[in-house]
Amino acid sequence: MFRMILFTQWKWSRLILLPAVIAAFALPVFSVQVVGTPNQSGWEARRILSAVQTWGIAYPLLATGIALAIAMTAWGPDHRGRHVYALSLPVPRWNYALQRFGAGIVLLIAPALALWIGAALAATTAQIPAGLHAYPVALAARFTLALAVAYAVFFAITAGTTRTAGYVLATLGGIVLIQIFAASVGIEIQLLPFVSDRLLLWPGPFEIFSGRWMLIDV
Amino acid sequence: MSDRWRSRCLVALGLAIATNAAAQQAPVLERRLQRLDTLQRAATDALVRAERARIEPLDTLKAGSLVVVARPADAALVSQATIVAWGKLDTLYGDAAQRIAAAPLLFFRQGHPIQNVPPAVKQLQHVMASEDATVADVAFQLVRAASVSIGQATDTALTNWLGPMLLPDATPSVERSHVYVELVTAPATAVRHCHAGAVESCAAALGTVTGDRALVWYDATERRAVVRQNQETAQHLGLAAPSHACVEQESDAACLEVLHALPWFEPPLSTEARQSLVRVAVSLGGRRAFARLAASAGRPLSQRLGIAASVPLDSLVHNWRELVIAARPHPVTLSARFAWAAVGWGVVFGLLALRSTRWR
Repeated sequence: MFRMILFTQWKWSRLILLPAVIAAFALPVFSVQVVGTPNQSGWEARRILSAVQTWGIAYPLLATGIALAIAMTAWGPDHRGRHVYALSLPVPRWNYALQRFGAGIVLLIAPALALWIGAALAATTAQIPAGLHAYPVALAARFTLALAVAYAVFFAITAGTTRTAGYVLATLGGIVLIQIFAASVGIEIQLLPFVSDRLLLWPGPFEIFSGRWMLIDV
Repeated sequence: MSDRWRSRCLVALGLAIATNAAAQQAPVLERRLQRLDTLQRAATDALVRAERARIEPLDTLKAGSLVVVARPADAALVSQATIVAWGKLDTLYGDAAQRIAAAPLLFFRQGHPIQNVPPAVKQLQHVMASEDATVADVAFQLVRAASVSIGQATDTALTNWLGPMLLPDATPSVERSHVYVELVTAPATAVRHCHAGAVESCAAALGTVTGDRALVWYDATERRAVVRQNQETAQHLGLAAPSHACVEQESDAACLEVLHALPWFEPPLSTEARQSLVRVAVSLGGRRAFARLAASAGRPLSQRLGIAASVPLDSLVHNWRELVIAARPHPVTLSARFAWAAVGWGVVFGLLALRSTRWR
C-alpha cells in the first residue's frame, strides 16, 4: 500500500519536484560563481564570503517552499475527494496519514540529494583561496533537516480542517496585530520578538533555519 | 523798610530755611540708605537661600578609583553599576585605571539632565542611560566613559593606532574569532603570510613595524586595489595623474607615489585586531602593563608593546597569533543537538498530523 501511496504522491507532485530538484542543485553552484575568477587576488576571500553569505538566505527559503508544496500536494486530492477514498480503506486513519507522511518524506530525498550533489560539485570545481573551506556535507545535512521540519509543520497544518488552518493563521495574525496595536498606543511589549525567539532559538522548532548557511566559510 | 533790606532779609531767611532743611534731610537719607542696605542684604540672603534650595542634592559613589556623581534616586543602581564597571576597568587597565579618579563622571537618566548644580559639577563628563536602564546598562555606559577618559590621557600615536577607546568588556574569544576571519580574508600579502605562520608578517600587518608600509603590507596587485579604493582622496590631493597611471596602466611606481602621499594609511588588520594584541600584551604584562604602554610615548610601537608585555615583540605576536588561530569560528552550525532537535520537532508535528481533527 505504501508503494501505491508513494506512486500517487509522486504523480501529483512530480511537476513540483522537477523544478525543486533543479533549484536545489543549482543553488550551491550559483553561489560559488564569484569564486575562481581569473582575477585571483587577496580581495577574493572577502568577496567570496560576502557572496556566499548573500546566497545563504536562499537555502532555508527553498527548503520551506519545497516542503510547503509537497505537503499541500500530499493532501490536496484527499481534500478535494472529501476523504472518501481514505475512509474506505481497511486501515486505521493514523496509519493512512503516516503513510502519506512517509511518502512525502521519501519524495523530499530527491531535492536533498540534488543539493548535496550540487554543493559537492561546487566545492570541488571552485578554486577556494587558502584559509577558506567548503562544507557541502554539513550544508546538505542541514538542508535535509530543514526540509523535514518544514514538511512536518505544513503536513500537520494541511492535514487538519480549514478551520484548524484558520486558527493557526489567526493566532499568528493576532500576535502581529497585538504588537502593532501596542506600539501605536505606546505600550512597550515585545510579543513578536518573544514569540520569534521561542520559535527560532534553542529549543524552538525552527532553530534549524537560523544561523549561517555558508557553503564556503573560514 | 527799604527794598534793599527786604531783599537781604528774604535771602537770609531763604538761606536759613535751606540750611535747616539740609540739616534735617541728611539723617533721613542716611536712615533710608541704611534701610535700603538692610533690605538689599536680606534680598541677597533670600536669593542665596533660594539658589541653594534649587541646587539638586547629589550623591557621590565610588568603587576603586571610579567616582560617579548621581541623583540620590539613582544612587542604588549607580552604586552597583560602579562596582561592576570598576571591576572591568581594573582588570584591563590595572594601575592605569587609577588615573580616572581625577575625572569623576556625572550620571543622569535620558531626558532628565542635571542642570542646577555648581559649575564644577556641571563640567564633569556626562554619562547618560535610558529610563529603564539596568545595572548592566549603566555599567556599560560607565565603562565607555571611563575608557574614553583613560584614552584621552594617552598620546596621539597610541590612540591613532589603537583607536579612541580600548573597551574592557569585549569577550576575548569572540574578538579573536573575528580576527581569525580577518586573517583569512584581509586582502594583504602580510596578512596571508601571517595566517601561514610568519610572525614578522603578523607584526607588519598589525602596523607595529617601521618601514615602507605600502611595500611591507601589500603586493603590487593589492597596492593597485588600495589606490582604486582611494581614487577620490588621491584626486583631492592633486594626484589624479599617478592614480590613473596606477589603476589604468598598472604602474607600481605610480601606485607607491599615491600610497605614500595618503594622509592616513590603515594597517591591513583592523582596530579590533590591534586591540586584541594589546589585550594579550596586558595579560602578559600584569597590572602595570597598560601604564607602561602609555608611559613609553615617543618610542616605536614595537618597543612600547614589548615594554608593556614584558616580553619581546616577536614572542608577544607569536602568542597573539596562536590565540587567534585557536579561536577559529565554527562555520556551518550543525551540531548533534541541532540535528536531534530538528528530528524531534519533525516527529512532534508528524504526530499532530496523525491526530487530525478532520477525521474525529
